[in-house]
Amino acid sequence: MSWRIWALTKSPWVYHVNVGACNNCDIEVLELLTPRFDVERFGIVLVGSPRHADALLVSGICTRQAAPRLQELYRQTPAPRVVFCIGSCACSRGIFHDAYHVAEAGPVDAVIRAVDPAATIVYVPGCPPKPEAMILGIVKALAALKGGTPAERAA
Amino acid sequence: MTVDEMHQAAAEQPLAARIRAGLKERVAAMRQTRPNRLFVEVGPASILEVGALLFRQMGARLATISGVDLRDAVEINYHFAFDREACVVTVKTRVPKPDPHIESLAPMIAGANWIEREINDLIGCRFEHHPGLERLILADTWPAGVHPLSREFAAGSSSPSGV
Repeated sequence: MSWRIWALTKSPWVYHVNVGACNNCDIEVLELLTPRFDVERFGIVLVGSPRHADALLVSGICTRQAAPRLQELYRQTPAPRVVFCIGSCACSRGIFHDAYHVAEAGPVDAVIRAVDPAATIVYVPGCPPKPEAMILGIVKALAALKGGTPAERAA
Repeated sequence: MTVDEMHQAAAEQPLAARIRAGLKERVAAMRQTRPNRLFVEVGPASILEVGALLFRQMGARLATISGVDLRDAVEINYHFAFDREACVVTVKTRVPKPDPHIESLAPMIAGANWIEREINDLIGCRFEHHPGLERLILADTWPAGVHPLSREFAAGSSSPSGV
């Protein structure tokens, strides 16, 4: 395990991105970060810039307008980095599957893989997912990173 | 006056009577479904007179404008809220297709500006003399002249070509 992965798993800093969510996932993300669930006790801190972040918490279907912005945010996040698809929309577009305003590349994971095919992507489904589910997703992601996924060994 | 007309005259609230007196023969139809809900049908040519009467003279608020594609026409519904009378007056007008267009209320009512731009984007109804009828809600990469909520656009299509 490289020192970069060690540092990331010790204290993952997160940047919150909404690419066309209805805001319900965003409210649950805030619940996650604020004192009720208080993931800051595990070192998970919300930061104001993707350049300071280890992980992107992405909510929403990824609209046509948002897709290039999401890709730019991903490029600005220093490696190693993890993308969390928060909610059914970010995982699979959910009820907006065949809507006209979704990105042509596909849902969030496809838009991210267009810039980095080896990206580490974690899916947390739910409409909205409970904060417990998000914590479980983070725990599984950190365990996978510590074990070293194929994607991380390539990075 | 027939019995039906008498019933109608008695059922009409003072607000309905005032609107009928102001718009006269421009009112194609009028119905009061509930004490707080009044529907007025007018032709698209008289929408500026409607705005002048309801907004300027009677002090209504333009709550919102909605549009429906009825295949042979686009129905534009102007929802005016009369807060003091506790009544919402919906002015319905049908704009014939193809090339649906109607006079803009934005020069008179600033709040109509973005609503009309959104209807122009999504349904394709043009608003004449709008101060800036530019794209509001569709993505920058969306092709011009394709209106995703019009009947010509295939439902379930995620491609702007509509196929």
